[in-house]
Amino acid sequence: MIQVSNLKKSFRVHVKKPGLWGSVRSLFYREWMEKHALKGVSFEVQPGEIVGLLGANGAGKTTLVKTLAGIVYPSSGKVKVLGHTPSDRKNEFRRQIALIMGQKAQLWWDLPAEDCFLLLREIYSIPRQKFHDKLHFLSEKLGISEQLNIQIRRLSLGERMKMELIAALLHEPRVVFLDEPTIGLDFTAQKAIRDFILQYRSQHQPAMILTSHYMEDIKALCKRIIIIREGEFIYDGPLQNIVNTYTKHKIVSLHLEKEISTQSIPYEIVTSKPQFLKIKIPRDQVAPSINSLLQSLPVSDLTIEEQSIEDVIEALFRGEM
Amino acid sequence: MWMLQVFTLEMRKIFSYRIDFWTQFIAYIVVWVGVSYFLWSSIFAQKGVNSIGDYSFHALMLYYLITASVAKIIRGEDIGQISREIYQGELSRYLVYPIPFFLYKFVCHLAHSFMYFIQLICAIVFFVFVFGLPSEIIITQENILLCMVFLLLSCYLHFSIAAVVEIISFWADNVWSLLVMLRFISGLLGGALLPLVLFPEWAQEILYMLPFPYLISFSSEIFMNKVTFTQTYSALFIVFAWSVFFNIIFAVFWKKGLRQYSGVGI
Repeated sequence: MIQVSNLKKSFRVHVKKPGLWGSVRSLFYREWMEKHALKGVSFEVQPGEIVGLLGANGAGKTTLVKTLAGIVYPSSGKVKVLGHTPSDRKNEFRRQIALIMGQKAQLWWDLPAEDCFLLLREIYSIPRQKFHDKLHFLSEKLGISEQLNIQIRRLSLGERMKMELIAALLHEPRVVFLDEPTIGLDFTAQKAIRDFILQYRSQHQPAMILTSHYMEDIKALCKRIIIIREGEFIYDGPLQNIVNTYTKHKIVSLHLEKEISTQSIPYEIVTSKPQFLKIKIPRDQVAPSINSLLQSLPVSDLTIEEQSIEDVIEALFRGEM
Repeated sequence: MWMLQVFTLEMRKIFSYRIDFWTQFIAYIVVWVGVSYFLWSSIFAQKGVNSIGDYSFHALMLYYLITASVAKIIRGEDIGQISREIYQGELSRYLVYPIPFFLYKFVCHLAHSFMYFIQLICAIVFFVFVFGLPSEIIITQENILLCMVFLLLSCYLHFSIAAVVEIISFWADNVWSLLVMLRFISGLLGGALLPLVLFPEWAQEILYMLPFPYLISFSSEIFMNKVTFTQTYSALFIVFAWSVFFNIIFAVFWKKGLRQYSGVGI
């Protein structure tokens, strides 16, 4: 459904020196900087797949989503979504996609949501009966039937986001781009939206790309993630494999019967307290190492932990892995 | 029909700010016609004449009332909206909808124009009721119908010109000054500040080849029965030609501009 090959996108950005002199100077002479937002990325997304796109701010996530949705032109490379080149913006292509931007309202601020939905019904030529059934179903599911006749600007952030979701899914898109759909929402609203997305996926099998800074979203929705750093993919694979791929150690916590000298411990010590040690053991040596520790130390209790996915991803964002 | 839905949606938006709707209209008409009244009454008094350039004082006031309203009708929605949407990245939401952006915006524009058109009718009825029609002016049904058709074309032409200026914001972040300039030029050369008949003849000849007179004053002149059918038909041709010209420019700028567009802010 989505095929991307060696996609590059660069922007020319105006650079202005700070202060009054910088402003005056820019009246006569402009300096430009080439910003490479995407540096040749390639991937594919299949129907029914939700791919989590992760990266620090400015890594290129939103640029990638905008390119796939046909909002920005790629500088080079090949992009095909549903067999179409998105930047051609053919109506046939646009009828089958949806873009939800958590940070930007797409509905009309001064109007009740239902008025906005009526317009979308016309834009997407949704048959009247199907539209009413769908709207009824979606609004019931998200628990916002009562708010359909309230102006968008008077809704809470969570309610507005739910309306945005309905607006995006009314025409049953086959490809959905979700750019931080749960940003700023409370836990209940986040969960409602996650459950809803999962249900939509199971019913319609669309290809979905989700960007989010909330790991809860990613864990709940995505089996596959792509980590992007400075315009390049540094990981594309199953979420669960990321720990195995990037962490070379496991964390072992040891509760001891008495205090010991740590000098004899041949592993990296993370935390050392009286009668407690936390150490890093290479993944391939865990079993023999534990065996030897149990024999040489007065261990009363022991736990083995993986490094958390959040920590691994954060380290990847920072370029520490 | 999505266009009808957009049209009514815009009207609902306008109605949601009803105080603003009426105050804007009354303030604009009162200020504009009021200034014209005091200015021209003193000119007529000083010159000691009954008419200037084919207009009696009474007819001139009607002319100003109509041109002031027509100027609002053709300008429709607030200027600078498209450029603001490009600058702030809000254009992105329209780009994913399977409808042409130009047409969508024109229909929105038309909804605002329609509301101002209703206001124009109210203003004319009020004028005729209070001051009566100028004796030298004969208004016919044909004139009214032709005026309405021409008004629609003027709206389209003005929107086409303004849209070209607005999308310059793909390259220049702020096109506000250009839009103000367009407003001023269309007001001056369109006959909203001064009836075009008061311009020297050579200037009029040039002016009537440009799009501006057809934006504001020509509709008023049709309404007030001051132009012939031949002049109207040639005006229709000129409006059509200029509209095509600006539409082509828009299409070229739009295509090139979208390549520049980065959808900042999302």
